[in-house]
Amino acid sequence: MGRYVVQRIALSAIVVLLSMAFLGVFAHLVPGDPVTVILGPRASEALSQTVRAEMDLDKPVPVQVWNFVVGALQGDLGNDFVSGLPVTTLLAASLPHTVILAVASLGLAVLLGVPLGVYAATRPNGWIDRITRVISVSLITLPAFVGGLFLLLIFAIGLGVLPAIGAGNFSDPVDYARRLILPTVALAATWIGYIARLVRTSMLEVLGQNYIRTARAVGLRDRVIFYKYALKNAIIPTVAVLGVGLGSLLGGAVFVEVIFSRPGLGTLIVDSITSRNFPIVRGATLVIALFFVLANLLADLSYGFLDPRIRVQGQSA
Amino acid sequence: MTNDDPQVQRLVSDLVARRIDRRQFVRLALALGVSLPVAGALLAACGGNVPATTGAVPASSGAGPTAAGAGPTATPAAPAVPAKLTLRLISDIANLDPAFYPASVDEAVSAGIYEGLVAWKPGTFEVVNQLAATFEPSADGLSYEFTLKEGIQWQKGYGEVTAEDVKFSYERIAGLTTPAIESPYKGDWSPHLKEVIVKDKLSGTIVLKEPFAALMRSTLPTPSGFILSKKAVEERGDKFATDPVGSGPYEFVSWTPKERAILKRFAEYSGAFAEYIGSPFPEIHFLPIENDSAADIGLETGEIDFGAVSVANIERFEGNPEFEVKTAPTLDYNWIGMNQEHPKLKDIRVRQAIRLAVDVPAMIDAAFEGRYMRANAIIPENMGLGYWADAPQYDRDVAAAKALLQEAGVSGLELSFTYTEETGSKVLAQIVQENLAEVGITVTLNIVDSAAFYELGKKLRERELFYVGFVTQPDPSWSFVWFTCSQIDIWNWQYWCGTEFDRLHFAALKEPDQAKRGEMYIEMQRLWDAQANVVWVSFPTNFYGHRTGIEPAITPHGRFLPHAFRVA
Repeated sequence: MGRYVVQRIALSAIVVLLSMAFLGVFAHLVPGDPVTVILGPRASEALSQTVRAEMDLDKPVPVQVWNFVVGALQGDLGNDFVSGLPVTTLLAASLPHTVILAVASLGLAVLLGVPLGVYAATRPNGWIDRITRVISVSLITLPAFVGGLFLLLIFAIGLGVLPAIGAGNFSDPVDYARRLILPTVALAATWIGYIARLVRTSMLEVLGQNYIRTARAVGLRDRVIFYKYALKNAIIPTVAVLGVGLGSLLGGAVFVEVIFSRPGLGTLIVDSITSRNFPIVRGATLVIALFFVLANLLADLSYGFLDPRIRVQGQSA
Repeated sequence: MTNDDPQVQRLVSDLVARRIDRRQFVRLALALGVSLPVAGALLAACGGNVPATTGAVPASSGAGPTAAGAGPTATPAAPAVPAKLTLRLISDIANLDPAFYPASVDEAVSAGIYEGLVAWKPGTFEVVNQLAATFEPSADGLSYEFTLKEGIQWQKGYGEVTAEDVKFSYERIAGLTTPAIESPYKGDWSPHLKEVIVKDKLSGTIVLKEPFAALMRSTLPTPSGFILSKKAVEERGDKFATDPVGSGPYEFVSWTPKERAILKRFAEYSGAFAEYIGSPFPEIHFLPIENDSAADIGLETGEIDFGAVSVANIERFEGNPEFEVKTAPTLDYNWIGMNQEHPKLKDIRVRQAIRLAVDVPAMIDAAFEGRYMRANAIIPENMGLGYWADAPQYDRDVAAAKALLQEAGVSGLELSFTYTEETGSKVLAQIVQENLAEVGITVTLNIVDSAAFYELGKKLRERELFYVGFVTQPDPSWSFVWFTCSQIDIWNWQYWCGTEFDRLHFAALKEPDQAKRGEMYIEMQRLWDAQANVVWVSFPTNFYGHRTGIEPAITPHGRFLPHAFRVA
């Protein structure tokens, strides 16, 4: 198991390093002059040159990549060109909102999607299963920004029971939680459907296996069979998806953040791309990449705990 | 359903007795089949100042006056002041240093923090004293004597405003301090400013190298004329940009990027400009909301009190008695440009044909819901200087356009039309494509993102037709400067270098007689018009929605001044 863990961590470190190198290069792949965008029409040539030098854009590409990677490894992601604030400060302000939104959405998706999938699998092709399938597919095909707008129209404008914009403040947790409800539901909707479908399929496969038949033969109750024996194995593909899902939700929360006017990594990146504020784009993208890698690493490691066979394969590899 | 219907009468009674609020009243009235105008009239008949007591409207949102005992028979009381005024910014602030502010949103927030020697009287371009007790130009226009009002205090304990601060502020932005800074706004002062001489603690002289006619229009009353605390700037260094110190009625409290910026009333405010502003709000909160739909919803739910609304939703707000929409024309200008140095567009008859082939009113109708004012030249009337009232208006004439192309011996012309993703630009581009197809010109649409669109340099020479809009300051010089010869390969995308045009531009900057300046700018527009290298489209208008009960302050060029808002 120890070797398996080391292998996974080493692989993750390589992925992170490659991400950093790519992010260092990408400023040169995107058309548009960041200096013009940042300074506007009134900038003199002297000022443009100064800012270009501050942005490292006057240096050869390999030097820029090296500077970025070395800086990032030391925790220095550079400064926002416009405000002069360290990128880490901007990330620290945005990241918690996005992480909370992503985790809450994923939590809600698991909370509703798993039981829905299990329930559908216990009565395959029954009317509950059919309804669940229709609901699942409907939710999967519902883009977050469409769902978000509907939620806003119903709950914020129509009924006036929930706030429409902003994330609130951590000093007022109740208000913060109220402001989290609609964005969470909007972002989770697709995943509820997706997880329900995934769990149902996995459960059906597992329920057909010999050890489940044996369990039934010895007279174990359905609830015990489904949740204690079948789900533990059926959940492995879902855990793998959740690992990717967390990273995807971090990056994909942007539409929800825009619609609900919430601060977050998504809006930070989109605004920074528009203004070609590369240090912020690189820093925020790196954070998302780190979360992706971390979530996948945790998912990889969790297989070993969920399924001892994977542990054994890891040891023999 | 009539007004006399018992159910409607009951609703009115509930409203008067404050059992329901205005929002609930309107909703229930509509549900009973009462039309929106009638519901509005009933609301107005009830006094219109029933307090917003419940629902999604926060108590502090400024959702109208909250006078106790309001109702048909109550004595009118002074309107209550909400604890905070919440405003929408179309993007987040980034730098509140007047020497480096990147956008109009930073300017809006800064306007309450800083003051200048002089300022515009809110709602006008009339320049009045602000920090200055006296401000006198010399007869030759080369120097300006000033004396500061006594006892003006800096925020955050930085002491009294002095003439040394004035010297520092103006020389800093002009790049004359040591170490020198490179401000994008250097051109507001340089190369005109020679120095600021400090005579004593409160008085001094601004000395120019040459007369500078735009000084009182687009330098001193704008952020380039704000006075900063020398001590605060030197002490705070780069941090001054996000934790500024001024002498204005509001002081900076905090900024959470992408979330909120907060100002609070400056307790020791001198009242230097209180005669004109006197905003009663203890705090002003600025929320960056880039998405128009989100902003419209925020306004509707009472989470913001004021903000730009999308053109598509103006009617909805205008039809709602809880809101008002202010129309604020700007000085900005949009146009379709033609690169006259491009081989395909060198012949003036081709450019004239294009000018006659496009349907500008149709573009304004389709792209801006018909709400923007058509432009016939670069300077709008509200500039107050240089407006060319007799500018020719080129209405669509397909036959004349075809004749011009035939005369030029041009057929099967193919042109590219480059534009970026600004409001309405896609629809506008499609109309241009259709219009020009009718005269035999094939147009390829080329949409690029703004960073690529504004990539300057020799690559611009490849552009043929383009659609673009510029913003400007309240002086014609700021509209014209981008089209002078020195701006070729930078912002002069028409690639026209007019010697007389340039001469007039620089002469007008030194002309002290504003009437003569106006004539010079009109002449420049005549010269430009003769080149037929632009199709003027519109002067954009800002539309601000706000809750009734708030009286916003808006400049004649469409910017808002949060520190001058009042309770109606």
